[in-house]
Amino acid sequence: MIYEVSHRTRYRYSIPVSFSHHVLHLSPRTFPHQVCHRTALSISPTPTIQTARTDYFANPETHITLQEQHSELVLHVRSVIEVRETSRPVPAETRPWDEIYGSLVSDISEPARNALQFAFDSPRTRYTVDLRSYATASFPPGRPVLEGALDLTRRIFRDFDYDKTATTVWTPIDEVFAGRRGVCQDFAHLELACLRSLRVPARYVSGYLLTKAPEGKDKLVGSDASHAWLSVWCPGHGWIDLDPTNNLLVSVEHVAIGIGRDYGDVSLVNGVIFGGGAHTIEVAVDVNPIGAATMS
Amino acid sequence: MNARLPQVGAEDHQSILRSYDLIPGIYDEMMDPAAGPRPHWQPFVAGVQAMTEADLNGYLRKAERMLRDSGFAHSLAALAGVPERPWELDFVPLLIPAEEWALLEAGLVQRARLLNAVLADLYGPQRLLENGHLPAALVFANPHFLRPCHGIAPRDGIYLNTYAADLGRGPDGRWWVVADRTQAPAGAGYALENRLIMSRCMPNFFRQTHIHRLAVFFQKLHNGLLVRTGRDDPRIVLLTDEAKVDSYFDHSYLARYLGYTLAEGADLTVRQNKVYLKTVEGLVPVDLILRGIDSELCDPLELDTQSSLGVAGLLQAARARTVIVANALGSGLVESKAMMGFLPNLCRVLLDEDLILPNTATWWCGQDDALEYVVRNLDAVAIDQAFEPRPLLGSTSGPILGSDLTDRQREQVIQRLKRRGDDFVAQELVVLSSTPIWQEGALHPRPMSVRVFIAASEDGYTAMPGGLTRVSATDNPKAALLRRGQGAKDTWVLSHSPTSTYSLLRSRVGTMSPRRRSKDIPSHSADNLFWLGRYAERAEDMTRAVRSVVRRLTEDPSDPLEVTVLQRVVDVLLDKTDIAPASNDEVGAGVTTSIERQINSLMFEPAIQYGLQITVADLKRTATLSRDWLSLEAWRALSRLHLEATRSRLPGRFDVSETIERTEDLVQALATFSGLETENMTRDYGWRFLDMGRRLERGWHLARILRGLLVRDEPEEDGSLVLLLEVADSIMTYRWRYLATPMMAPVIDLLLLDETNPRSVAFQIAALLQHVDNLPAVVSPPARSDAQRIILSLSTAVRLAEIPILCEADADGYRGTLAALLDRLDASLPRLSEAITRDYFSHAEARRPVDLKPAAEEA
Repeated sequence: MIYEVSHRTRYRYSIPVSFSHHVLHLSPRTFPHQVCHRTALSISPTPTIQTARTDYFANPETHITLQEQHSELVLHVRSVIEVRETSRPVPAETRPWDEIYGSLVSDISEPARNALQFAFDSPRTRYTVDLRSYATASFPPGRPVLEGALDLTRRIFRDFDYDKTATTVWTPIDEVFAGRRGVCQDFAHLELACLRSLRVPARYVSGYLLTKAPEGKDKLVGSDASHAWLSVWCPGHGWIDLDPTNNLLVSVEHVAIGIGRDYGDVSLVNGVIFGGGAHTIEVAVDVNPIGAATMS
Repeated sequence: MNARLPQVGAEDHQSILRSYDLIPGIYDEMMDPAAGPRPHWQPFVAGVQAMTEADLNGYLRKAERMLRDSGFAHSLAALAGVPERPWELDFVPLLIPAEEWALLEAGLVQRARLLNAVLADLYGPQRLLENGHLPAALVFANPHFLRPCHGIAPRDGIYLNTYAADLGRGPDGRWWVVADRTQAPAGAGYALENRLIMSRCMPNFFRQTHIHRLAVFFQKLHNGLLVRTGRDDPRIVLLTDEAKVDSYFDHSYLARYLGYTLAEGADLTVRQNKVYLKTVEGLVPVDLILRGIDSELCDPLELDTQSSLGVAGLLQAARARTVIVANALGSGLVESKAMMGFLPNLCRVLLDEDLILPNTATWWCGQDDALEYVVRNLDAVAIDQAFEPRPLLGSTSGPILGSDLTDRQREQVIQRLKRRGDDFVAQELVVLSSTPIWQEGALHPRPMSVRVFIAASEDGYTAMPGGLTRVSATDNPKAALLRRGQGAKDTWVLSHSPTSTYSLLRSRVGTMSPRRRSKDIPSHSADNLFWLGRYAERAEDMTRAVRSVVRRLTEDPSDPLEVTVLQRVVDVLLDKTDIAPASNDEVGAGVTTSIERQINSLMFEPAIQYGLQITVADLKRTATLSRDWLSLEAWRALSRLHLEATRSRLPGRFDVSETIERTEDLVQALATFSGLETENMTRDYGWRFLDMGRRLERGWHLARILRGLLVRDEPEEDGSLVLLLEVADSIMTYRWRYLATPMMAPVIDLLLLDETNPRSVAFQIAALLQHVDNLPAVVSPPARSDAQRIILSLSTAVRLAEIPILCEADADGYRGTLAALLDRLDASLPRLSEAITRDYFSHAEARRPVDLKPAAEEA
């Protein structure tokens, strides 16, 4: 499927901002199952400095500095992205989870290192004993990794409530775990921490989710949303995406922007502003299918 | 069993070695158990032995005094509940003979090169991982591997600008590296300070012994930085954290010695991908940041987003190579204990050399064979976190000794190791050597380790010939037990020949061009100086007023009129405090009961806002943070003043004569401090801000006292005027000028309007006007800044005031015009303070790390 994505974020400040720095992870990257054909980022007001680079995880990253006073900042990214249906391994035929780490540490090849780097704690997915015992219920010894991961995804979907008011971007994972509620990035972090507590490599994915219009109605403009999920490493198959918020194996309705160890590595917009007072944010995301996949 | 040693000295009982009972099984730095003091110690032992008791005591007293003066600075920590000084300085240095030092130096220089090469690889091509020389997991699991720093390559390849190693000596006499410090090695400032104290106390020993000087090392460090910037007059700042007391003093000492500006993250800003220092004169570009805080904290944009200590955009500036950060951001990666086990091999791989200095045998439990070994030999090792280096002073949760575990604990530990082995290292138990300390008139052996510092210089790494030696308080020689609160020592590296002296050094750097600019004044330093001025003056004003009131309490205060006046003065002093006003009971109990209680609270209660104790604590805090700007004498005066103010009181109720004595001493000490401060400070912006703080506080205080005493009733009748003249220290001037009992009009003239009286309101206003006009402009003329408007308007009001109108009272005896003028002063001076703060101290532009992501939403 080919999508045209429009993602517009507008910040309004109650007191003018005299000066600000931002790091943006808004431009989609290319994956084996996804190609970004085109992407353009427009920023208003025009930044004093704008630099593009590729970050450690190979995501496109943009740095901007605004040195002129402004009361509003608009970041608008428009991309054309092609997402392909991927062949998924049969869960029961994937490698036993408890063999994975051992085989990765004794393998110095680049693919092994690329997987291994996602097997450890990160700032937002710290190990706790509770998380480990929660995870263990899905991973008895010798269980195929994807089977275990799907079971864990289901349990998180079942045991946790989606609640926009329960957490903020700063809420630590153990509080989410104790409170049993949160939003997509909390669930992604939770599952990542569970998998990593067992040293199963897993990475955070930031992206978009295509929404469907209610039966018989037109889809509202701007009603799609940014989303977060995760991928688990299945030797022989690569990264398999899971969505604990919706209890889904990810398919062509998920459009990825970037990957990292957790939210902190790929947050869409990170900033330090001087002045500014209170701020409001408006986000409008439209993910429109414009054609069938062309790549094979 | 402790071995008795052969005695040195004529009479056994007087020998300084009489208590030197060797700790069994370990090496002693000074004493060869078979032959007595080792040759390199003999001159020292003989020297101390030869000192008369009086000389020795004189020396110790001098050392103690110097430590106290210096320790005063450290005692800022006491305010934050941290022990006063991180360690006591013992006067017996550690002596390292020349041949041993040559080996240590070569070993440490090699180690610095090695660790630098490891950093360059891991933050670059990662060939060590590709070739399997280092397990990838060891790097990926390390929280100090900072991904955003990957690929930031210093132009000259120097990731590790300074490095420190903690060394210990095993029972066989060999030196070992116990710990590596690569993040932001601390302690060089303390080593320098220890040397300074020792050299001032003990000049004879320095003359008799050839000891390597430390100055050469610092000059090389400095030259190394100059070369790195490619400039002969670069701006170098030392990035510190004022709240972290132990390292702050280390940094402030070092910054002062090297002439660098001490800055906090908030003093720096990144514009156009370049780093600038915010000074009262505006933004000035920075060439090199000597990083004194952990890498993680340095950039809230890309590293720890919750850090308030960093500089947003610093990583981008480092990537753009517009600034050098030393050590490079992320350098903490290689100081983890887990790395130690791999260094011997890495040394051969990267440098094609054998590691000269061994380090403590270390097994990273993230590898199966290592883990197996550790489980089998648990009794012989200490288990510790793999990646969290111990801070300079140790920490509360030390390593676990396998031999200390119960069977149950053993099982638990083994289980944890098997589950998450990569989080842990095992190390062989380090047994340290002992070295003498001085206690109760004799030498005693104590376990010790020494931190040695290495810096990049023009021609490769160079070691500081000396270091920071720490000794244990007990005789348990296990390295893990060196903790906070224990002793420190100077470290003398001996030389066979006379060592290079400062004059040699000077000719070496004779090509250095003279400094072209005066010292930068970071905005926050200006802020501290301004408040230092305000607190010093506040303490002085309060104490003078209290002295005048208390003096009158000794006389028979039967005149109710006079008591009313005294209460009015006290009420002005209490105005901003939460001390209770006079109660009915107190009025019934006796005329001066409430005044006594209130003064007692004001002067001696510890937690009264605007009271003396809090003011003096604030004075000390701001003075400490302004240390670089104060002379040593001013500093000593402040130390005495603080001692005076916080001296504990005689037990029991308020004592008038004691309070008089205390206020006399305090006024004296405060006057000494202000005198030194004005005499010794160069007339730069630093002085201006300090003086503005003083003038503003004095003007404000005076206006409020005048308001309290002059606007109603009959000041000519009730003693108010004499009291006022006394409080304002203007009684002599008045007598000399008027030769009469105080009258309203001349008193108002002298204390409010006379610009020639340094104790008048008008004098303060005129001084403030001049200061404000001489500050760097914040708006372009003819526009005026807020501060300029406020002070100009006040100055005009004071200059236009007419005495007869000010003296006029209405039918109720109320002097409305006088009251209005004084109220205006009372209200406007704090506003002036706010305007100066806004324009010059940079806090107005509050920085906020904002997480600009909306709460995630999805279908």
